[in-house]
Amino acid sequence: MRDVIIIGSGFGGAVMAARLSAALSTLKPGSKVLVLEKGADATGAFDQRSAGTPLNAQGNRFRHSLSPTYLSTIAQLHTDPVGAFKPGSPSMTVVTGTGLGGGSQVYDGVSLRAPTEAFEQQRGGRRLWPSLYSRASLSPYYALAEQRLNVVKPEWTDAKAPHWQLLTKRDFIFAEGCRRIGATAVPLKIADRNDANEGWWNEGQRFEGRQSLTKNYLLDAKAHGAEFWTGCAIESIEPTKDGYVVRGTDSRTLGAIEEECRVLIIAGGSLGSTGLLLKSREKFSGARELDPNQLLGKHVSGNGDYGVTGEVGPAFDRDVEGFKGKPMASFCPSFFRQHQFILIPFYAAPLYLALGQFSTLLKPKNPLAVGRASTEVANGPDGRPERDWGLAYKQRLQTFGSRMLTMGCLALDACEGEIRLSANEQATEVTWRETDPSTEARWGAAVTTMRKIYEALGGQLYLDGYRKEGTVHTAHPLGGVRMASDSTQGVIDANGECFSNPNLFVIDSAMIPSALGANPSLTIAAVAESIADRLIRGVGLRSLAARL
Amino acid sequence: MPDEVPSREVDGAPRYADSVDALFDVLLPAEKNSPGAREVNVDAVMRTEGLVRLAIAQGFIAPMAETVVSALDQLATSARVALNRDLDVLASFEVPLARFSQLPSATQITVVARAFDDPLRRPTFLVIRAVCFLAYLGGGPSDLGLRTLGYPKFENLADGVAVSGYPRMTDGRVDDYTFNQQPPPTNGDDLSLVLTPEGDLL
Repeated sequence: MRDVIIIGSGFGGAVMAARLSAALSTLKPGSKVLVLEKGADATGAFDQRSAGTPLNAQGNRFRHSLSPTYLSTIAQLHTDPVGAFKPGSPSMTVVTGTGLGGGSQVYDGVSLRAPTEAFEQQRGGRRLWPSLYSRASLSPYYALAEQRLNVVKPEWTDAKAPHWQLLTKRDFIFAEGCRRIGATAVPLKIADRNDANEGWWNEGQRFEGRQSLTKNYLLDAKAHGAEFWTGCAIESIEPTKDGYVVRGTDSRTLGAIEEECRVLIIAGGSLGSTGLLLKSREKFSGARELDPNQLLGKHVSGNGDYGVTGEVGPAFDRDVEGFKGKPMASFCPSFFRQHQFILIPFYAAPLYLALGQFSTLLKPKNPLAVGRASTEVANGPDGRPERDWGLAYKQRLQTFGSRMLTMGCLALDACEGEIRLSANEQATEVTWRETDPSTEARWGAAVTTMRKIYEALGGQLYLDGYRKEGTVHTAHPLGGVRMASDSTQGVIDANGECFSNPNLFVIDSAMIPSALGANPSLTIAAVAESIADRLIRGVGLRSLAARL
Repeated sequence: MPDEVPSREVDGAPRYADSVDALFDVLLPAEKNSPGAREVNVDAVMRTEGLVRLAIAQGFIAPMAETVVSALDQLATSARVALNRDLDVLASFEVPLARFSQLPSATQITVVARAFDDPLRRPTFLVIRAVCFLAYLGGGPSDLGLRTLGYPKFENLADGVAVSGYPRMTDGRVDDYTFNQQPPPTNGDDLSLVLTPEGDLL
């Protein structure tokens, strides 16, 4: 029997792998943490047996390609095929990273600490976060994570820095738009080291600049002897007399996996962890029932993500060139106190925009409309709704380099999403049936503000998927296996341990009980750092040593 | 705009391999010195194994009924034959016995617009639209479309996957990413109420 198995290698799993591997090396020399990862090892450095495309000149498997075949190896989309809000349209789509390093392989490195207000949110008079957590209590763990992830703050201008380390043209123009409406844009803290800024950062960082987890936490885990099995999809877990058994399939050999351990940490992300527990729920019964209050998959946040596209007017004297440079490097915090959202301008691949994903290149019929499915596509010169194909549309796309500016908000939403299994119970689906009035008000204020920024730059805001189809798009799913102070409110406790199943932990984005109002990776890492610290020292829970 | 973009006659009647080929030109047409779907080798993208499922999985196409996805599995072969037949049926409503590829451009556009409005045909046409933009914007082996937007050329295609490095000027120098300029301050916006000195939200 193994001592510790970790399923997943994103911001929760990587931190736990690093910390527990180091602890085991002194507590029980020879004992190794086993990390099971469904996706491939794109670095080629952790699991030599990993399947994937050949190594490139940089020694990894990343490409800069929008080929769907390639993209399917680094990212996955989860959606609602039924249409819980509008027939034929997804009510929600969620993009997640796949492969060793989880979301860090496709994230933009944004590493803001979550604001105090995020931790103090309440529902029904109860604080969502267990009392253990506040901005202040997490501060030392934020500092640890920032150090390990190499979080830096880029500058607007610096004679000593190469130009690709500075804030981009897109950031400067966004800042000018903010200034014209009385707001301010400032540099954004990002995890970054000598990034060559090859432009298509989102599609895989083959030049080793991105601070993905394979360059820090997972490297630490490897140095302390952790084993990495990639291409291993875990399909179920089951309690045993002394621990847990995990079962799945090794995609490289198509052979079955069956491994038993004393301590099991599930860290497959909001979708992955929730889906695995939903599939395994029936294997837990009696006193060990996993989800007696039917809370799994409920209260899922999209972190208030809301992306839009628009254009800067022809009279504005600078080109945006929005696809160049760091994918995210500035943000506007001016509206957080009043409306609980921040704005971030970001890189977006033209393909996603051309195909109308998250935002469109079409004008809204009612430019002032806010709210779910609040407006349709404006009519073109022929009196019909503008077409998203043909010569006129192609010509609009040709403004991508010079005039187009993409931005979005992150807000405190009310966790209106849900994760569930598909009808055949093979895949996870997400839905967002209704938007809470508080979320609607924040998004409405954010869209209105973004429209004003475009107009201040002489341009206009295009129609987005939420106002057109009612689709909520997010790259930051949170929750599904919510942590709570007691089992009536959540499945796991403040340390991520299942209320009814000792030694079964969920430590990743699935445990986060609320929206954060900032990109979540740093907070997930900080929460994991704090749990690892308490588990190793035995503070507030049984120590790791006592569990082995 | 790339100077090697093929210049082809767009004023005269273009010759199409079949009606689907003509459909590509309606959805993403070429102009002089600006490629369309056909010029960026959309046929190569059509041949991608499991393309429709992959495109749905990546969010390029909204989820659709399994029956439609299955019917479009062989996009470059049997599904193309069926689509050719359907386009020609639609064309014959406009001009008896005419193929879609033989229709005047304006009539082709009318036919395609009606097909997008038809709930039964719309999913198929959305897929073909997505394939055209995939080919144009870096999902296939051609970089002509991206270069039209200002992207650099692909560095190499040795592994059969479109690869692009960081943007470079046409003379090979690395492009400039920044204005290297501090934005002017905003009067009256006191960020000390929302930000720490380190740059985090309070």
